[in-house]
Amino acid sequence: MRVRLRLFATYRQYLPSKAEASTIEIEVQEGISVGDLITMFDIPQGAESVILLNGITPSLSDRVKEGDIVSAFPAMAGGVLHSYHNETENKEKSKCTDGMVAF
Amino acid sequence: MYGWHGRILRINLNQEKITIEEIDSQTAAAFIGGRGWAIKYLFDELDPMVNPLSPNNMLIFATGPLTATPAPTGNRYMVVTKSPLTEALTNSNSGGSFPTEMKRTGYDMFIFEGRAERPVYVWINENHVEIRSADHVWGKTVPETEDILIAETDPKAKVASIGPAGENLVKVASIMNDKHRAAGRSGVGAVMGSKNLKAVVVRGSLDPSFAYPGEMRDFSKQINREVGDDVKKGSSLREYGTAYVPPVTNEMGILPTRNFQTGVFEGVENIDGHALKEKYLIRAKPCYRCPIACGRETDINESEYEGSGEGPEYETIAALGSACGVDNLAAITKANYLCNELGLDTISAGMTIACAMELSEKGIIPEDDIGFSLRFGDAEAVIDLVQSMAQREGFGDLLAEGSYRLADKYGHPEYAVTAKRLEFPGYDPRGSKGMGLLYATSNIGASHMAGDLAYAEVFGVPEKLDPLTTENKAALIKRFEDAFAIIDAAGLCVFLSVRYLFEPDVNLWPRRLTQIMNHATGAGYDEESLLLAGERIFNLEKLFLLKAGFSKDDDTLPPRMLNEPMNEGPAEGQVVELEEMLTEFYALRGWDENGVPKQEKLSELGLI
Repeated sequence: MRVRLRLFATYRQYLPSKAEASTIEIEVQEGISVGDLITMFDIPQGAESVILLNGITPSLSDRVKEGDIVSAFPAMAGGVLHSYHNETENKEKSKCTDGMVAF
Repeated sequence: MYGWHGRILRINLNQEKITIEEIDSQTAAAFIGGRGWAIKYLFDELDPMVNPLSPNNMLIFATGPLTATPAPTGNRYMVVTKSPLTEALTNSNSGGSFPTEMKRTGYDMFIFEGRAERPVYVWINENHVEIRSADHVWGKTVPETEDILIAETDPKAKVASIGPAGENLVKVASIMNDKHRAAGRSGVGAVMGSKNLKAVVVRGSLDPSFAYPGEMRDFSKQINREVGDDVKKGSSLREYGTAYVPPVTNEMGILPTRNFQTGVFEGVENIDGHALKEKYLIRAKPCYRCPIACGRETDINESEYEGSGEGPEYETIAALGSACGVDNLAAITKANYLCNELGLDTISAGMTIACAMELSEKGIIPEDDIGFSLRFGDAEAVIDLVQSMAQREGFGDLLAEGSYRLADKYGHPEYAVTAKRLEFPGYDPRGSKGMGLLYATSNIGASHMAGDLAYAEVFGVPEKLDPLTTENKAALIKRFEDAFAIIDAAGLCVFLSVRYLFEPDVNLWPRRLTQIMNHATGAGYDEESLLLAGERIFNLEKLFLLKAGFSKDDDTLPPRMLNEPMNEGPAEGQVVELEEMLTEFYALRGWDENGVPKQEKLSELGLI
């Protein structure tokens, strides 16, 4: 069956090099899931990507049907939450100068 | 004081009287700065029923404790006043270099009062404060004005000014700084024009000092390094600016198209960031100390649209483009340049033209009133009408009043897509329900910048939410509104702050923001007290609104959003279920069923 894959912003890099627009039409096997399709194109899964099925947020296990459009774009300004998530929990104590207490 | 200078410059333009005031440390911390300090002064001093264009209105420029500091994106200021477009208070935010230079004059805030007899500009170079004639620049565009005033003051001076639109009291006029940056919304430029104040020129070298300079430096460096590393991995904002967004909102069926008659635009591929990059981009341009650089320096060589400048960003593309049915990126960019040069808010200008197009197509505005047959998709008309709007020429005089007054004049206010008379930004809330509640409850009207839940509903920042459900949206909008009040008051840009200074989930716990605020100010905030300060600012604004005659009836959306289901796309069949969200929102805010803050809430916030 034929479906369309549409990639926005920096995710256009995951399109085949000959692609001229942000959308390509591809032939895939029946029963393929959104997650399988995304994996085929090396598109990151998880919080760093926003993935849509016909414009609506799907579950990655949702099956893609003939004529569907799967689209994806980076959620952050380039996966920015990576470093934040990886940050060690070095919670600093709030500091307060003498004679100046906000509340 | 640390972070803050603790000094406010008050300039009465009637009397040419200049005074320097100090703010006490308790008030400084409780209202944070910027938007917070400004509403405190507005609430205490301004008659809420004042005519916004009368000399009695106050025009406040306010920086925050993190403006002009090493904090990443510590480059913002806010313009706070009573709006002539909405008759509500407003706070309009801008970056660039002007806000940093303003803070370096040694004052955190400027208050302009009264009206000068003749056009003037104010030249502030630390202790040298001078009101000068602006007769020679009155009528000139923003870039012309900046060049002239820098030449006659200091080559390193920075300028905020109005263009002809502000002079002509156009109700959607902006205040521009650094030529291309806009405190755009709510007609703040008209307030400046009504005071005969053409420009404010600043120069200074007085950096704020910090309670913990070592920690301030190290923490800022750490965040900058993280952002820098992430940008190197590939940043859509750096690569395309916010212009990467039209295909995204279009995919979700919420790209304002033909005055919000639909959310799907057939010409979207022609007006996105990729097209902009391929055709017109010169380089990405950052504000002061911003590691992201979402600004776009562009030029157009096509003869009929020739020009250069900055933009367009997403909101401009949605307003002057898809909302008007225009898919000609050169024309949109040219209209953007004209708005910047003439001093018009691109959002309200574009959305007002879109409203006029619908009224014209429906036969509600006679062709004779416009002078030609105005139809969606007419790029030339957009360019012409932007200019006539700024000059109040012909039909432009009606457009200059904004879409609500335009549609109301012709007996059909329901076609004005506004909340509290402020034109919607670029997210159709029928497919982004939280944004619907935000537009209805924002104290300044339909502004995405008042608590942009599209971050989560559309962009997956900090995490992706279902945009079509109303569940939990009331709680999230409350938190986003309070958090954005903190960001605005601190003098930061929301782009970086939401991503790096809060815990990475939708509850926006301001852990790192609290740390950096304390490094700078030493005020001893904890996360709860900082959030409470944001809530305090939001509630004081609400109290001002109530005194200005606003009520629950104003916390609403146009009939199209409430009763007219989206006709196609992923949001097909959707309307905004506002009432259910609003009831929950009022309760969570500690307000009564009419949206009036209860005594217990005001007491908790220290507002009574």
